[in-house]
Amino acid sequence: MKLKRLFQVLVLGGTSLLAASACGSDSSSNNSNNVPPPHSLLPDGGTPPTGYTGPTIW
Amino acid sequence: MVEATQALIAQVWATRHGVETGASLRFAALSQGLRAAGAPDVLVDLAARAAADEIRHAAHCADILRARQVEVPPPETRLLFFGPRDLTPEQKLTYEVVAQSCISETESMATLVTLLDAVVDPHLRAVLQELARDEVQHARLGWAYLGWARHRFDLAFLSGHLPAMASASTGPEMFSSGPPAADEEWLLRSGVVPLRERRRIYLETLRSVVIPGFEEFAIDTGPLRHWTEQREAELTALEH
Repeated sequence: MKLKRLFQVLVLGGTSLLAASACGSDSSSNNSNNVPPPHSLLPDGGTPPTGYTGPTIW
Repeated sequence: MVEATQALIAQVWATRHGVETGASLRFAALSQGLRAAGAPDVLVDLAARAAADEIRHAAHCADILRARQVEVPPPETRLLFFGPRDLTPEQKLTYEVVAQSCISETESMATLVTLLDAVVDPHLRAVLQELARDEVQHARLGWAYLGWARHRFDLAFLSGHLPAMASASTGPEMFSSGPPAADEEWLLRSGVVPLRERRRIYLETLRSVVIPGFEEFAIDTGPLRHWTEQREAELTALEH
């Protein structure tokens, strides 16, 4: 797999994955009743500034 | 020089151990967040699986360090998020998914692809192949998320944050002058991309994958393009 193929494999592959599982429709959503999301969607503890300056990539 | 290079290789694998353990914590939290946001099961499950994958990846990094007779650093135990405080809950979740999957995991795939072309050691090659198989899914999570989220809320807010996400993903060292050992071509054999090559791959992946990816979702990439051009100009000055 070369760099030039990554767009197809990752970006288009990601969107295809959603389509393939029919997740674009509300039927497979975890919020099919349109319940408003809670005040915070992510757990506490990660609010910046975190003091971390290292990389997040390989 | 040999000692310096060996130390550099150990440092890179130790950093990767931290990257993997930190990513595991973030993916577990993102899985919770995606469920709370009502995201499709496929996204929730992808994030949960990624959290488990990253633990396995960290174990591979630890094995490689032990094989080099280098102490394995303690795992990252902090749940690190990078988005600003003033975002709405949905924006905050989106920020972290995009930073982790669309940028970090997509860029990591480019590194793995490069290493798979260069590494000949059978064990290291098998590890890299395993990681690449997983990282494809970790990156796809972000692009799939944008495909879902674009129909639910406005993604325009992301545009101005993309440079900060890119900057955070590299850490401060990628665009600084490294030690002479960092550009040794034979680092590749030990699973390390020489710094000069790493910078080039990072920027090329931004231009050929990440930026066009965001444009697929009609997100304005002007600020990220500008950031990329600035880094390219800095590198021209740094490397000539």
